[in-house]
Amino acid sequence: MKTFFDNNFKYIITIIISIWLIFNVVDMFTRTNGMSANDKERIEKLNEEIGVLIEGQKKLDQSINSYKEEINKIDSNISKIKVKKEVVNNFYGQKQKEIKDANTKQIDSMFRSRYNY
Amino acid sequence: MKKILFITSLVLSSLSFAQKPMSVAEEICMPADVAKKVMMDLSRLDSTTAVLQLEKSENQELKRKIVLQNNIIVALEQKNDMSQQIINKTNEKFQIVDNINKDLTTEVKRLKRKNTIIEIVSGVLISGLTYGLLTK
Repeated sequence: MKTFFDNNFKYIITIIISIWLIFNVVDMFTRTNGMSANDKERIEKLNEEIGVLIEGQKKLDQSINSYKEEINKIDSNISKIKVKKEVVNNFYGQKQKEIKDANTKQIDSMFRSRYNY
Repeated sequence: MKKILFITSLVLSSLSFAQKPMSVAEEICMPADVAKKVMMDLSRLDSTTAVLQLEKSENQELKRKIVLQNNIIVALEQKNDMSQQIINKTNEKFQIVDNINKDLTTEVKRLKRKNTIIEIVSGVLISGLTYGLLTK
Protein backbone atom coordinates (compact mmCIF):
# COMPACT_ATOMS: atom_id res chain seq x y z
CA MET A 1 0.00 0.00 0.00
CA LYS A 2 2.77 2.37 1.00
CA THR A 3 4.70 1.56 -2.14
CA PHE A 4 1.56 2.19 -4.20
CA PHE A 5 1.21 5.66 -2.64
CA ASP A 6 4.90 6.28 -3.07
CA ASN A 7 4.82 5.27 -6.71
CA ASN A 8 1.57 7.08 -7.61
CA PHE A 9 1.84 10.06 -5.26
CA LYS A 10 2.09 12.58 -8.10
CA TYR A 11 -0.97 11.19 -9.88
CA ILE A 12 -3.06 11.06 -6.72
CA ILE A 13 -2.20 14.66 -5.88
CA THR A 14 -2.84 15.76 -9.47
CA ILE A 15 -6.24 14.05 -9.48
CA ILE A 16 -7.21 15.59 -6.11
CA ILE A 17 -6.14 19.09 -7.24
CA SER A 18 -7.93 18.68 -10.58
CA ILE A 19 -11.16 17.56 -8.89
CA TRP A 20 -10.88 20.49 -6.50
CA LEU A 21 -10.29 22.95 -9.33
CA ILE A 22 -13.18 21.59 -11.42
CA PHE A 23 -15.48 21.77 -8.41
CA ASN A 24 -14.53 25.41 -7.78
CA VAL A 25 -14.84 26.45 -11.42
CA VAL A 26 -18.28 24.81 -11.73
CA ASP A 27 -19.34 26.42 -8.46
CA MET A 28 -18.11 29.84 -9.64
CA PHE A 29 -20.08 29.72 -12.90
CA THR A 30 -23.27 28.11 -11.59
CA ARG A 31 -23.80 30.12 -8.39
CA THR A 32 -25.81 33.31 -8.67
CA ASN A 33 -24.78 36.57 -7.03
CA GLY A 34 -27.82 36.57 -4.74
CA MET A 35 -30.17 38.67 -6.95
CA SER A 36 -32.17 36.54 -9.32
CA ALA A 37 -33.40 37.81 -12.69
CA ASN A 38 -36.95 37.62 -11.36
CA ASP A 39 -36.07 39.85 -8.38
CA LYS A 40 -34.29 42.29 -10.68
CA GLU A 41 -37.33 42.42 -12.96
CA ARG A 42 -39.67 42.96 -10.00
CA ILE A 43 -37.53 45.78 -8.64
CA GLU A 44 -37.35 47.45 -12.06
CA LYS A 45 -41.12 47.15 -12.44
CA LEU A 46 -41.65 48.64 -8.96
CA ASN A 47 -39.27 51.48 -9.80
CA GLU A 48 -41.24 52.20 -12.98
CA GLU A 49 -44.54 52.19 -11.07
CA ILE A 50 -43.09 54.50 -8.41
CA GLY A 51 -41.84 56.80 -11.19
CA VAL A 52 -45.33 56.93 -12.73
CA LEU A 53 -46.84 57.74 -9.31
CA ILE A 54 -44.28 60.50 -8.70
CA GLU A 55 -45.09 61.99 -12.12
CA GLY A 56 -48.79 61.87 -11.20
CA GLN A 57 -48.03 63.65 -7.94
CA LYS A 58 -46.10 66.35 -9.83
CA LYS A 59 -49.10 66.90 -12.11
CA LEU A 60 -51.36 67.11 -9.06
CA ASP A 61 -48.96 69.63 -7.49
CA GLN A 62 -49.16 71.74 -10.66
CA SER A 63 -52.96 71.70 -10.60
CA ILE A 64 -52.97 72.50 -6.86
CA ASN A 65 -50.68 75.47 -7.54
CA SER A 66 -52.97 76.71 -10.32
CA TYR A 67 -55.96 76.39 -7.96
CA LYS A 68 -54.03 78.34 -5.33
CA GLU A 69 -53.26 81.09 -7.86
CA GLU A 70 -56.97 81.27 -8.72
CA ILE A 71 -57.83 81.47 -5.02
CA ASN A 72 -55.33 84.30 -4.58
CA LYS A 73 -57.03 86.20 -7.42
CA ILE A 74 -60.42 85.57 -5.81
CA ASP A 75 -59.10 86.77 -2.44
CA SER A 76 -57.84 89.91 -4.13
CA ASN A 77 -61.29 90.44 -5.73
CA ILE A 78 -62.97 89.89 -2.35
CA SER A 79 -60.74 92.47 -0.67
CA LYS A 80 -61.51 94.92 -3.51
CA ILE A 81 -65.23 94.31 -2.94
CA LYS A 82 -64.75 94.91 0.79
CA VAL A 83 -63.03 98.21 0.04
CA LYS A 84 -65.92 99.14 -2.29
CA LYS A 85 -68.42 98.29 0.45
CA GLU A 86 -66.56 100.52 2.85
CA VAL A 87 -66.57 103.34 0.27
CA VAL A 88 -70.32 102.86 -0.30
CA ASN A 89 -71.01 102.83 3.43
CA ASN A 90 -68.94 105.98 3.93
CA PHE A 91 -70.64 107.71 0.99
CA TYR A 92 -74.16 106.94 2.19
CA GLY A 93 -73.22 107.65 5.81
CA GLN A 94 -72.12 111.10 4.69
CA LYS A 95 -75.28 111.50 2.63
CA GLN A 96 -77.49 110.55 5.56
CA LYS A 97 -75.65 113.03 7.74
CA GLU A 98 -76.31 115.70 5.08
CA ILE A 99 -80.01 114.74 5.05
CA LYS A 100 -80.15 114.95 8.83
CA ASP A 101 -78.63 118.45 8.80
CA ALA A 102 -80.58 119.65 5.72
CA ASN A 103 -83.28 122.33 5.89
CA THR A 104 -86.65 122.15 4.18
CA LYS A 105 -85.42 123.81 1.00
CA GLN A 106 -82.51 121.42 0.68
CA ILE A 107 -84.81 118.43 1.25
CA ASP A 108 -87.12 119.74 -1.45
CA SER A 109 -84.12 120.17 -3.74
CA MET A 110 -83.04 116.60 -3.02
CA PHE A 111 -86.50 115.33 -3.97
CA ARG A 112 -86.42 117.43 -7.13
CA SER A 113 -82.98 116.15 -8.19
CA ARG A 114 -83.97 112.58 -7.40
CA TYR A 115 -87.27 112.49 -9.27
CA ASN A 116 -86.68 115.28 -11.83
CA TYR A 117 -89.87 117.28 -11.29
CA MET B 1 -136.64 126.69 -21.81
CA LYS B 2 -136.23 127.41 -18.14
CA LYS B 3 -135.98 123.72 -17.51
CA ILE B 4 -133.21 123.32 -20.10
CA LEU B 5 -131.23 126.19 -18.58
CA PHE B 6 -131.69 124.73 -15.10
CA ILE B 7 -130.48 121.26 -16.20
CA THR B 8 -127.50 122.74 -18.09
CA SER B 9 -126.44 124.82 -15.06
CA LEU B 10 -126.87 121.76 -12.83
CA VAL B 11 -124.69 119.59 -15.10
CA LEU B 12 -121.97 122.26 -15.39
CA SER B 13 -121.88 122.86 -11.64
CA SER B 14 -121.69 119.14 -10.93
CA LEU B 15 -118.80 118.83 -13.47
CA SER B 16 -116.88 121.69 -11.88
CA PHE B 17 -117.34 120.21 -8.38
CA ALA B 18 -116.25 116.80 -9.61
CA GLN B 19 -112.99 118.16 -11.16
CA LYS B 20 -111.80 120.02 -8.05
CA PRO B 21 -110.58 117.00 -6.02
CA MET B 22 -108.64 115.65 -9.08
CA SER B 23 -106.48 118.80 -9.28
CA VAL B 24 -105.78 118.52 -5.51
CA ALA B 25 -104.59 114.89 -5.87
CA GLU B 26 -101.75 115.80 -8.31
CA GLU B 27 -99.62 117.30 -5.53
CA ILE B 28 -99.00 115.90 -2.08
CA CYS B 29 -97.82 118.06 0.73
CA MET B 30 -96.21 116.60 3.81
CA PRO B 31 -94.52 117.96 6.92
CA ALA B 32 -90.79 118.73 6.56
CA ASP B 33 -89.72 116.17 9.18
CA VAL B 34 -91.70 113.44 7.36
CA ALA B 35 -90.05 114.45 4.07
CA LYS B 36 -86.68 114.26 5.82
CA LYS B 37 -87.50 110.79 7.10
CA VAL B 38 -88.63 109.72 3.62
CA MET B 39 -85.39 111.05 2.12
CA MET B 40 -83.43 109.27 4.86
CA ASP B 41 -85.26 106.00 4.13
CA LEU B 42 -84.58 106.43 0.42
CA SER B 43 -80.91 106.99 1.14
CA ARG B 44 -80.82 103.87 3.29
CA LEU B 45 -82.54 101.97 0.46
CA ASP B 46 -79.92 103.19 -2.03
CA SER B 47 -77.14 102.21 0.36
CA THR B 48 -78.64 98.76 0.96
CA THR B 49 -79.16 98.19 -2.78
CA ALA B 50 -75.57 99.12 -3.55
CA VAL B 51 -74.23 96.94 -0.71
CA LEU B 52 -76.51 94.09 -1.81
CA GLN B 53 -75.00 94.18 -5.30
CA LEU B 54 -71.51 94.04 -3.79
CA GLU B 55 -72.56 91.25 -1.42
CA LYS B 56 -73.87 89.28 -4.41
CA SER B 57 -70.53 89.59 -6.21
CA GLU B 58 -68.69 88.68 -3.02
CA ASN B 59 -70.97 85.66 -2.62
CA GLN B 60 -70.21 84.54 -6.18
CA GLU B 61 -66.49 84.90 -5.57
CA LEU B 62 -66.77 82.93 -2.33
CA LYS B 63 -68.69 80.17 -4.12
CA ARG B 64 -65.91 79.99 -6.73
CA LYS B 65 -63.36 79.87 -3.92
CA ILE B 66 -65.23 76.98 -2.26
CA VAL B 67 -65.26 75.04 -5.56
CA LEU B 68 -61.51 75.59 -5.99
CA GLN B 69 -60.82 74.62 -2.39
CA ASN B 70 -62.86 71.44 -2.91
CA ASN B 71 -60.74 70.72 -5.99
CA ILE B 72 -57.61 71.21 -3.88
CA ILE B 73 -58.97 68.81 -1.25
CA VAL B 74 -59.71 66.18 -3.95
CA ALA B 75 -56.22 66.65 -5.44
CA LEU B 76 -54.61 66.37 -2.01
CA GLU B 77 -56.58 63.19 -1.28
CA GLN B 78 -55.40 61.74 -4.61
CA LYS B 79 -51.85 62.78 -3.77
CA ASN B 80 -52.18 61.12 -0.37
CA ASP B 81 -53.39 57.88 -2.01
CA MET B 82 -50.45 58.03 -4.40
CA SER B 83 -48.05 58.59 -1.50
CA GLN B 84 -49.54 55.54 0.23
CA GLN B 85 -49.05 53.50 -2.96
CA ILE B 86 -45.46 54.74 -3.24
CA ILE B 87 -44.84 53.75 0.38
CA ASN B 88 -46.30 50.27 -0.23
CA LYS B 89 -44.25 49.77 -3.39
CA THR B 90 -41.08 51.03 -1.70
CA ASN B 91 -41.72 48.64 1.20
CA GLU B 92 -42.19 45.82 -1.31
CA LYS B 93 -38.90 46.81 -2.93
CA PHE B 94 -37.17 46.90 0.43
CA GLN B 95 -38.61 43.49 1.22
CA ILE B 96 -37.08 42.06 -1.98
CA VAL B 97 -33.76 43.78 -1.27
CA ASP B 98 -33.92 42.56 2.33
CA ASN B 99 -34.43 38.98 1.12
CA ILE B 100 -31.52 39.38 -1.29
CA ASN B 101 -29.44 40.78 1.57
CA LYS B 102 -30.29 37.76 3.74
CA ASP B 103 -29.30 35.46 0.86
CA LEU B 104 -26.05 37.36 0.44
CA THR B 105 -25.32 37.09 4.17
CA THR B 106 -25.87 33.35 3.98
CA GLU B 107 -23.65 33.25 0.89
CA VAL B 108 -20.90 35.18 2.67
CA LYS B 109 -21.05 32.72 5.58
CA ARG B 110 -20.88 29.80 3.15
CA LEU B 111 -17.92 31.36 1.32
CA LYS B 112 -16.15 31.93 4.63
CA ARG B 113 -16.65 28.26 5.52
CA LYS B 114 -15.46 27.27 2.04
CA ASN B 115 -12.38 29.46 2.33
CA THR B 116 -11.55 27.92 5.69
CA ILE B 117 -11.86 24.44 4.19
CA ILE B 118 -9.72 25.51 1.20
CA GLU B 119 -7.10 26.86 3.55
CA ILE B 120 -7.08 23.64 5.56
CA VAL B 121 -6.99 21.45 2.43
CA SER B 122 -4.29 23.65 0.87
CA GLY B 123 -2.27 23.43 4.06
CA VAL B 124 -2.59 19.66 4.10
CA LEU B 125 -1.66 19.43 0.41
CA ILE B 126 1.31 21.76 0.79
CA SER B 127 2.43 19.84 3.86
CA GLY B 128 2.04 16.54 2.00
CA LEU B 129 3.93 17.83 -1.03
CA THR B 130 6.68 19.28 1.13
CA TYR B 131 6.90 16.04 3.07
CA GLY B 132 7.00 14.09 -0.23
CA LEU B 133 9.73 16.30 -1.65
CA LEU B 134 11.76 16.17 1.54
CA THR B 135 11.51 12.39 1.96
CA LYS B 136 12.46 11.74 -1.72
